[in-house]
Formats: sequence, C-alpha cells, structure tokens
Amino acid sequence: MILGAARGRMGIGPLKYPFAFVVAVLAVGFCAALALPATESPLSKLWLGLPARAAIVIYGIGLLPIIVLPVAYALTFETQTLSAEDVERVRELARDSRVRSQDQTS
Amino acid sequence: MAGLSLPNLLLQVALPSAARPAVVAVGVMYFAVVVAISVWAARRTRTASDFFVAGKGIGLVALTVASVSVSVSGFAFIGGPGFIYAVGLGAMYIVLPAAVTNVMGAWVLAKRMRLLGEARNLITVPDAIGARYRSRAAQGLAAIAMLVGIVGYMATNALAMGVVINSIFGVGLGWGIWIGMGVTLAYSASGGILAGIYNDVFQGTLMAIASVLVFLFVLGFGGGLGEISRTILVHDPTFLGPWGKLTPLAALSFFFVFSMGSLGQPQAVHKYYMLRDPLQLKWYPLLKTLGLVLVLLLYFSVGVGVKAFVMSGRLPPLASPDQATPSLLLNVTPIILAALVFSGVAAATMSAANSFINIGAAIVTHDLPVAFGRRVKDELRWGRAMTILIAVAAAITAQRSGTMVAFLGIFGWGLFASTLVPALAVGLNWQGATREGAIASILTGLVITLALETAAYVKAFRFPAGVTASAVAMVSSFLVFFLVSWLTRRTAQAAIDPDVRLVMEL
Repeated sequence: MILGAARGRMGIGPLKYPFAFVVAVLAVGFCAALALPATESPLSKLWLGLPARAAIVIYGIGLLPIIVLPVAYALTFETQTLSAEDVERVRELARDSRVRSQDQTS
Repeated sequence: MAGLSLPNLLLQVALPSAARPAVVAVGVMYFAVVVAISVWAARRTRTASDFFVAGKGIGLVALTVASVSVSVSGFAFIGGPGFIYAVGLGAMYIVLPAAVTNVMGAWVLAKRMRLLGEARNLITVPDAIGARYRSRAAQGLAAIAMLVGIVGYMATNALAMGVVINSIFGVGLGWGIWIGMGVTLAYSASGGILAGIYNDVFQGTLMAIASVLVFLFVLGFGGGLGEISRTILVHDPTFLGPWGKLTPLAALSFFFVFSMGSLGQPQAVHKYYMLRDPLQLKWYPLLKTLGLVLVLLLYFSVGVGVKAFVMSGRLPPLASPDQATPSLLLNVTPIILAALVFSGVAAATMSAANSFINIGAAIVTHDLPVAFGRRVKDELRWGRAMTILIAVAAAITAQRSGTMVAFLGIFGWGLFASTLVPALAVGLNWQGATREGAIASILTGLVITLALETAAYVKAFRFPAGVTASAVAMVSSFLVFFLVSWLTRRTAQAAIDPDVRLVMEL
C-alpha cells in the first residue's frame, strides 16, 4: 500500500498519519485478541452487543480502518494520488506517441 | 483444525425448495428487469471497446455498485453465513480485510490501470502486464493462467446459479444451470460488459437492499445483538471468541490471503479501465467499502443470528451449515423478504458469471492472439462467439460432481491471486521488477497452485493447521518475483516504455 501511495520524492507525505494509525489499530487489535484472557461467558460485559475480544476484532480491526483509510485517500487525492495535470500529461504523451507511430508508418 | 482449505467461495449445496408464489413472482420480475437492461445495452454495443470495457464510459456510482456486485458472489448470502454458523467469528477474517483492501487496490492498481488504459487504449488485465514489461510472453502467460482460473470459477458459478434457480422455480438442478447460464449468456453475448455493468448495478442494489432488510429483521427477531450474543454465550462461548473455532494462525492466514489475494481478482481489477474520468477515482474506495459493508451485513447477522435461534430452539437444527440462510428465510422471515434474498443470490451468481465470461472471451479473442503476434480482425464478432463457447463449456462442466466443481472454484480464486498479484500489483508500482521476474512468478503461481490444490483434492497431501494452498502459492510467487527481478535487475529500467514509466511515477 505504501508502494502504491508513494509519489516520487514526496514519499507518502501526509498519508503517514493515517497509515501509522491503521498499522497501530491492526497491531494493537491482533495483540489484544491474542493476549487478553478468554473470559467469554453469559455474564461477560458486552461492547456494542459483543464480548470484549470479539468487539475489538469486529469494530476495531474491521470497522475503524474503513472510516480512516478511504477518507484519507479522498482528502489527499489531488496532492497525493492524481490531479487533472497528471491526467493531461499522460494524454499528451499518448498523443505524441500516436503521432510518432503514424509518422513511422507513413 | 487439522487441515484447512479456503472455504467454498461459492454456493454448492442443494437449497430447500422456495417455490412459493411470491418467490416465483419476484424471481420472474427479476429476470424481466435483467432482460430489459440487456436489450437496452445490446443496442448501444457497437465496437470491441464497447463490448469489453463499456467504451470506457461508466460513471463512478455505476462502476462502484457493479464492482461490489461482482466481488461478493453467492458466497456472501449462503456459504458465508453458513461458514460463520460452523466456525464462529473466525469466519469474519475473510471479510475483515475489506476495510483495507479496497483502498489498497485504489492506491496500488486503480490509478495506474486507468491511466494505462488512457495512454494505450488497453482493454484487458493481461494487456497491462504486456505493456508494463513490454513482453508478449508475460501477457500470454498471464492470459493462460487467467483462462485456467476462469474455467474453474465459471463452472462453480454455473452450478451456483443452477442451485438457486432450482430452489426458486423447482425446475431441477440441470435445467437450473442451463436457464441461469442461458439468461447470463444472452445478455453477455448481446450487450457485452455494458449489459453486465448495468445489470450489476441492478443486481448490486437488490443485494444491498436484501442484506440490510435481513440484518434489521435478524436484530429485531433476536431482540438486538446483545440478546443474540447472550444466547450464544450460554451454550458455546468459543463461538464468540476472537478466532471463533479456528486457530489464531488459521484466522490470520485467511486475513492475509484475502487481503492480498483480492488485488488479483480480474473481475474487479478489469473494471478500473471502464471509469469515464480517472479523477472520479477519488471517492471510489469510500463508496465501494460502504457498499460492501451493506452487502455483508447479511453475512454476519444471519451467521450469528441463526446460531442463536437454533440454540434457543426458535429454529430447527440445520442439516448442514449452508442451510443457515434458507432456514431463516423459509421459517421466520416474511415471504417477500425471502423472495428478495433468493433473487439477490441469483443476482450475485449471474453478476460474477457475466464478468468472467466477458474476461474469458477477451483473453481468447484479444490476449492470446496478441501474445502470438497476431490480431483478430473482428474482435466484437469473435468476442460474442467466444462468450457462447465459454458459457456452454461452464454449464457442461457444472453438471459434474459438486465436489469437483467446488475444487475448481477454490482453485480459480487462488490461481488469480498467486499469478496476478506480484506481476501486476507490485510490478506496476516498482520499477525494479523485470519481465523475467514477472514470467517466473506467474509460472510459479500457476504450477504451485495446480500442484497443491490437486494434491489436497485427491487427499495425497494434508496441510498443517492454518496453512492454505493459496497462501503458500502466493508467498512462493512473491519470493520468486523478487528473487528473479533482483537477479536480472540490469534489464529493469531499459524495459519500461516512457508512457508506462510516467504512469508508474505519477
């Protein structure tokens, strides 16, 4: 993901914060699921309807990144992913290539 | 678990008969809408570009809904809830990566694929591999690997269609397969991917509505998620543990395979070419992720809810885990909701089948001839002919034993992942990748997936707990890709065309 989001010398720029957040959420979530004692029972306290360890997995690992990453993608899209100038550069190069190949053919 | 394979990704089991007047009526209406969309699309399909990439004129919302629709298949409605019913929350590790994979796909593939389409007028996934490595061999090999996977996946989809249509109309499995494939074929051959996309939009919307309604029904019927959890915790606390009944290694293996493997699924990747304006990609990951969450609400709620209802005696014990959704629908939900879900399942299988038929036809009429240095003169006409051939072959294969067909489906998914992810997803983002590395990794993925899945199928080999053939094949393919690229690194920079380099640098 970092490979795809990195852009020349800019690297991943401001995306380092959401990336770090998601890595931390996944690491803490998986470690907590592994490390916390298995205390699930009918008397367990429920978090949004689930026992603690299940809630960490479903809401933490499953839902938190859903909110953070796509929003970060959209907010940094023009600066970090693709701008109208970028698209125009590609189109211009494609036009030049076609003209060159037509010249070579003729 | 002593041995572990990928769960059956598609619907294989016999469903109980749902042939009630309301279900049949909704089913007939569903097919009527599909036919109407197909007739409209057929009139607008005039060129090979229209047929294979919808003339690169699809808007953001249509593309997103279509992408959600082809990503889930019937598994989300039948096999998935059954898998949760069987192994508890461990089954969620198949869908949890969706939180990351959609945006990862956007960063890693969507922009570069769409810009390559802009620069080169590409229409297939192997086209992108051929352009990236300036290699007809890499393009041809990727095409062959995809074709092998598509044959398996299509057979599984055809069987799934037969199972659902038989359940709705009571026509028998064999006729169900032919009717399902016949309708899918009609719109695939006439309207190509344009018909497919707009049918996907209709089908995806239907699936989302059905999923949300079932989710709300299950919560209401069960007295809320807390009450459902309490019932399960009384009888089987392990079910609601963080790994369910799986080992942590097995659950994490699912998370890895499905997060990385999703990047190589051609039915989703191919759609990046079709977006009208590349700048619309801005909202694509957010919309797709939200769409997937809606469609997967049924997956979670039915799996967990039916477990609680069976434990509390409100539903009879299931004959097999895959009966979880049908049992809920036919015993306690309003019949109109059952009708919507059954049509939603038919929609999911037809949507996936259409995409694969179209991609397979493009491989045969476009990629393979290009790999041999030739071009088919009338790609549209031959595309339509190949569509018919692939659909008929899939329907015939689907008539074989369910176990065999299930094996083909699992094999297909793993094959896409192991052959396409390194060469395509990494290759488009790393200029150090070489054509030798790409060819070697595609070959490795093909051979290892074939060998391991076949060995497991004939029971000549048993994987240790938590290990899947797809994970082994994908890791091997990655290692070979990096190793061979490093060994041949002197050729890396010289083998990238200027326009491809620009796309990779943006």
